[in-house]
Amino acid sequence: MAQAIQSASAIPRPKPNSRWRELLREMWKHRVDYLFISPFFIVFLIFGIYPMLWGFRLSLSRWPGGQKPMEWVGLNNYIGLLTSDPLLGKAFVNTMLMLGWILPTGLAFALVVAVMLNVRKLKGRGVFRTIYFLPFVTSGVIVAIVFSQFLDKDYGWVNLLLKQIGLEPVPWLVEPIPAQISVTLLLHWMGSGTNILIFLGALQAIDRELYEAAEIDGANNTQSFFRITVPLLRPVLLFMIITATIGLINLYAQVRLLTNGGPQNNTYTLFMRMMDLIAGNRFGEGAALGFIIGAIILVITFIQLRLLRNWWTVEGKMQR
Amino acid sequence: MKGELIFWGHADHPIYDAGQAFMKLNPGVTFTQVEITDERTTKVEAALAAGSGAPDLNWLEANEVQAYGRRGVLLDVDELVKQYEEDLVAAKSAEARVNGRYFGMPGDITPNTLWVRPDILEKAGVAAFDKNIKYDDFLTAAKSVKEQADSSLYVFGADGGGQSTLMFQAPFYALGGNVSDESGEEILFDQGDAAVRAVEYAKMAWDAKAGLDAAWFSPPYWGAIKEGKLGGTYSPPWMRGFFETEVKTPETGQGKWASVIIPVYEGGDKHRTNVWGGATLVSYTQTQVPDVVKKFMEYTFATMDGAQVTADWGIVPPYLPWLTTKLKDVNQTLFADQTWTDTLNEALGLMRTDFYRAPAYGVAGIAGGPLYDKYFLPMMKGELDIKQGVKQWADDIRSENKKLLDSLK
Repeated sequence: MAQAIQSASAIPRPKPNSRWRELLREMWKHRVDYLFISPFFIVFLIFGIYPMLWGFRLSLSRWPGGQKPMEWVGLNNYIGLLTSDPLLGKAFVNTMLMLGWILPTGLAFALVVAVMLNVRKLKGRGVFRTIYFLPFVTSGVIVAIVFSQFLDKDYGWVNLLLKQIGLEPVPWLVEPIPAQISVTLLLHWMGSGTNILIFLGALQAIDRELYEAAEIDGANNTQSFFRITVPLLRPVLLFMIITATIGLINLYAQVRLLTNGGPQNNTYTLFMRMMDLIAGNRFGEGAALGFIIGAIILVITFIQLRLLRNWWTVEGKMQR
Repeated sequence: MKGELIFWGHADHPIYDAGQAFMKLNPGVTFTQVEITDERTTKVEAALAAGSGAPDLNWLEANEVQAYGRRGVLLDVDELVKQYEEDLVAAKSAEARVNGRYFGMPGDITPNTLWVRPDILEKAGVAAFDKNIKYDDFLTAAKSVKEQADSSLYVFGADGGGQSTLMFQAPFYALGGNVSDESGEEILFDQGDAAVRAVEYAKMAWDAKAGLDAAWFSPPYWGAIKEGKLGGTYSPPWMRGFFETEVKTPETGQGKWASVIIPVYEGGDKHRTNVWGGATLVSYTQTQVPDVVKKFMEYTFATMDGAQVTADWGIVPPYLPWLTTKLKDVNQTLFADQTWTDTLNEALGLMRTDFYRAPAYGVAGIAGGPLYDKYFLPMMKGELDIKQGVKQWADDIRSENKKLLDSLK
């Protein structure tokens, strides 16, 4: 063994130069393949990488817009935002709170509905699936406008219904907690369809024999759900948690239209703050906040990955 | 004269009407309006960065003119405006001037007055307003109208935004308040007691619970107007254009409105009005047809015909030869008679020339915005002491304005 190691280490390692040459030779050999995949990379470079690098440079600069040059200010934009922005703290707390309750409740709701739709003998499953998916294909702008009318304190249908059944009307869009509930309802209504479809697809891919075997072994429905269904949904769940997290931290249009961040900035999000900075001619700070939001997403996603990767094994046992 | 003018603005716009009239006079010119509202800033910024694509004409708020003017992206129309300087309302011209040069054609002057429905006052058994009605008496009348006629004499939504902001803006202006000095460098918001007293006056209206609680421009807002649930409102002249689009029959209030000067705030009887909105017509340095642009600006706000067209829509053009002779003849269907123009003329005479809408004005958000939301409603609800709230609000304006001015350099 020692001899083998010795002889392996005796083989001269290729110099960096020759490695590059080797790579270029390989690329030339597969030049037609590279030619076919190049359009994606060219488009990605122009519309993905370049704007990101440009935006990062902007976040470190002062720029009055137009065609004037950027002036390097180092980390000043980041420091100014993190130390003295009068609205960033509130926007951060709001965004995290919304993430904290919309993410679990949304996924739990979608999972429950998907499990119900997955019942073998359910008739009209296609119809239900279409109904749940419809909100997703409806314009978010229209949905927000319709919701704002449904939830109007005096004239909205929801309050009219509450009054009909003898309940007090709720100031849905004008008091902090009801406004946050309104945003939650809107996002659940819009987002559940896709989540249900993805869960349903994953549920249908689970081998029925596993449930049958568990049944023979005496497992009840709850045990089957937590010990078979949930663990086997882990990859899908992980994907959905991460994409939903990214979507919720970047929450903008629906809230802008439904509550405009109010009342008293209680639904004002990080993304709204970023857009307000940009609209207010503060491009450098807007870009810096964009990267701060990106960093927040990265950190949260990393934590989620670390936690979820270790929580469930395929056998369904909790492990940490 | 030949050329194509592209205008970006919201639907139902006075500049669109002016464009149609301008095309008739100049067959070689085409005027196209692109309906753009919320995404205007984004699109303009993209065009400015790209070096082309910005509209030839834009309708900007006063603080936007100041910010864009400082950035050097607006077409310099100094020579044109200076020709007419003496014929234009001075208070409005100041808003188009940046560092001594004009970067926009002074557009809509917007002195607020109080609009009322005399039939609703009568229904509530409230006497017609005396010309010098005091604010306290106005609120007493508003409570009676609410109780007796189920109608409101002012708008005060639970969100505190839109037209509700006038309950603060009007006393702030009347009492000599200012967000900043003319340069926009020094924040004056908490100097003197105008802001504190203005918040106190607004709180009196809030506590009276007699305002219309509806979000501005929402369907319930228009519904309330048409059903007579709004019997009065502080309002700028440009609201007439929007009102007339909605209020089209006598049953919904057409021809039933009147207007008076806003109530007297103690110590604020010299300037019983205020400005809200009131945009300025600008172009960008990118325009390929600067001469046509200038001709259009001149026609729209420095000729009798152009001023008439925009005034027929509902705004008040700043051209004095027109204002002093033709304002009284403007086509309108909202008010019972033409006495509203007397009120408007009176309000024009009460406007301040020392009220500045520098970039800081936008930052402060006294006409609504995140900083307003942060402080105003908590003060209304008694959750935040008014003096302390105004001080904190001013500190935030200072910090935000410094960053904004820095980024405009």
